[in-house]
Amino acid sequence: MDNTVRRYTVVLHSENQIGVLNQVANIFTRHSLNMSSMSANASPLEGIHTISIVTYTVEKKIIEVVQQLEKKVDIVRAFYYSDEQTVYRELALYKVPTDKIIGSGNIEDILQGYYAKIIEINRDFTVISKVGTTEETQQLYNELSRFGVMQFQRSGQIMVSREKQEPLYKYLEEREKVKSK
Amino acid sequence: METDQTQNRLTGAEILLQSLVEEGVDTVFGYPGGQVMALYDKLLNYSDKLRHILVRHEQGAIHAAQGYARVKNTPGVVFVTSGPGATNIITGVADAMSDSTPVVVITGQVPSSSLGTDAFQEADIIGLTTPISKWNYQIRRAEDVAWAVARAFYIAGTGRPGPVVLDFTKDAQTGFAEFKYSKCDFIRSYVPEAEACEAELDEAARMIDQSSRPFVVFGQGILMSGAEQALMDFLKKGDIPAGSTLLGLSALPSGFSHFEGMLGMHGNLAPNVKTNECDLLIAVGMRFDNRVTGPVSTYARQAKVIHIDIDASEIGKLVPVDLGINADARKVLEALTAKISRADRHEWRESFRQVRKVEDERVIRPELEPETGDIRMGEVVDMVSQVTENKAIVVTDVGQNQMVAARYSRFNQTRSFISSGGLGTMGFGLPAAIGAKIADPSRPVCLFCGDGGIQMTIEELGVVMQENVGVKVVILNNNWLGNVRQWQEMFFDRRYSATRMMNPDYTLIARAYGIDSEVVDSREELRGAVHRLFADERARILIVHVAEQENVMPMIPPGKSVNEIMISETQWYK
Ligand SMILES: Cc1ncc(C[n+]2csc(CCOP(=O)(O)OP(=O)(O)O)c2C)c(N)n1
Repeated sequence: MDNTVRRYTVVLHSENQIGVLNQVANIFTRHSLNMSSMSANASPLEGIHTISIVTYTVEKKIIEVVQQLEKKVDIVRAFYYSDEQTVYRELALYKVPTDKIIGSGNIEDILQGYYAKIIEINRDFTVISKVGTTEETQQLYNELSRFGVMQFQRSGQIMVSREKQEPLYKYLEEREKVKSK
Repeated sequence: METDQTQNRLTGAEILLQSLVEEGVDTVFGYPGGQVMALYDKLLNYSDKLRHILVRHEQGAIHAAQGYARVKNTPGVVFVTSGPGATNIITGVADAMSDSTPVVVITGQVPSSSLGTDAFQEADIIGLTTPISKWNYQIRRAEDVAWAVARAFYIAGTGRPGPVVLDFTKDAQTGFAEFKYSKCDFIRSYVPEAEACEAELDEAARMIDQSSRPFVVFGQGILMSGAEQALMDFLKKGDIPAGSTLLGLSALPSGFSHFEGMLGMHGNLAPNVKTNECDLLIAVGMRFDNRVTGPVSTYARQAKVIHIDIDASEIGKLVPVDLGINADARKVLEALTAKISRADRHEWRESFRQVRKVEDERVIRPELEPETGDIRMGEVVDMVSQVTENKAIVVTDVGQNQMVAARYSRFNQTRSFISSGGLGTMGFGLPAAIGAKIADPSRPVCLFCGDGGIQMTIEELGVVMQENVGVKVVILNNNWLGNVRQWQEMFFDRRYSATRMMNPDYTLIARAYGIDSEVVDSREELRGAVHRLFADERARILIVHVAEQENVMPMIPPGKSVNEIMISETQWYK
């Protein structure tokens, strides 16, 4: 196992219980790992939430973290992935002054170049949205900053794995079979 | 039973008590207060089914429950109130987590409508115990009580056991719900025990058969899975020597042919040295604590490693393994015994004898049979083993007393050694001994403690008095915080900072609680005094004035590897 610090994404599925996020955060804190991005949402399965967390560390540590996460009673399963193993995106919203971008003349080109869209426009401000990696949303931010970005926020990153993986519902079905035995 | 007449429903408090009865609980250790008034009120109606032991400090309740659980192998149960009552059990929860002890703690909590308002005696016990409990849950409705209790017992007692905290709001205690109990045996998000696969077992058997110098290191997992006999069969068939961690002690009888003693910082020479000479290390139900391994970069590097543990997250956590088997120790050992070939490894086993001889001559004999000088701690421990014919449950506090008790106690029955291993909690001893005695009144229970540790929970002598708990307490009084003093002597230029301790007259304390006591100052008095200690069933305290500046040897100094061992303050092994 090598000692290179890499960007890893931890994805876990948990029961929808109060305090699960606290349990997860505790395990990251114990390993002195920073969460550089986090996203927690309902999964399509009833009662199950999916949390994905991006962190920078070495593989040995990420394995430890994932094993300790999975050991938690309320956590169904946990996985980790390096960037090559995933397709990942985040969403960014940019609020810019409408007069400035209209005055610029080339906003259409900029947005096209970045695959970004205007999702709301009014006299005072315009909201632009973009889906991409952190680097890409950052590049657009840099580009727009000459108009004066009034507000900016990016979401936590979400991902799917490039690899074949047992879907969670299948795993849960297997578990239910164990129960009836 | 107080019932809601129209619908035949019970209060949450009563449901909790009924649920405990359903789980087979007969003893609760606790302390009342404002937010458990309703629970304690209903408890009065259950005095024929649930014995409540009123401790003197909540820390005492949880350590007693731990001692109880370790003897019985079923969860110990604790009731405390909210706020300070609940924060007082934190040390014990952390201790139970470290040592995988099943306990179910019920803490009172302010009414759910007041949560988060800094109400009187509100403390966020869920937040506080999340990192140190196996599971916790806040019960906010009477309807959830039975469900939560069933889950708590299932989680605390299965897989790798541990502490569970149920935070029970006042309104959930007083609210009404229908009572229907069904035990929990499945939680979809929780897999307590994986099964070993045939290929892994075959591979392990192959590795064992090919090994000429295999060595087994085992821990408390053997006791928890009931693998004592399976381990003996395995060791005998493979002719394999074995060493135990602190918490694995008593899983094998001390005199068992293949048992080579204790591992770790103050363990026996042979098992430590041989760890770095074996060609195959088979670890069962243990977690490679750093007090066992020293720096892992120097630990058993020459050997292939098989790690068998019920907790998947322990495998490969510290020591890289060639084969990990994530399953129950007993099942794996039974399967392996069937698969391995009967072997003769007497030469390898004989090589342990050589090292053992050195320890016998240089360390053990001088400790147990000194002819002059002050009483050594080891002599006292040895005398207790002699007098009890190795039948006592030995409980320890933390420090030199603990290491000496572990080194020199002899056992002929399993579940006979109770000590705070992972957390090393001073003050654990007395309440744990009380819990152990209550769990099994038929066996003698002997606590060894230091003059420091006994004072951390000495108030629990009140329980000994009130409940007539026949524990035997041996205070190894050296007038120092001995273990720390030893480190100061050996590694801090004898700069004795804050370790000299002035002691009270323990006989007066004993007398205040109506407990008989005796002081031993000289070697000649020891045998008689220990005989008197065990002469009857009553509690008794023996205060032994031992050498003030004894050092526990051998010692692997911190940072050294398992084969770099000091056998005295100035000499190294070999
Ligand atoms: C609660 C707690 N505080 C501090 C320590 C650190 N500590 C470990 S051993 C020890 C000294 C114990 O002295 P004593 O109880 O007299 O026992 P002895 O070592 O002399 O047998 C101390 C202070 C600890 N383990 N637990």
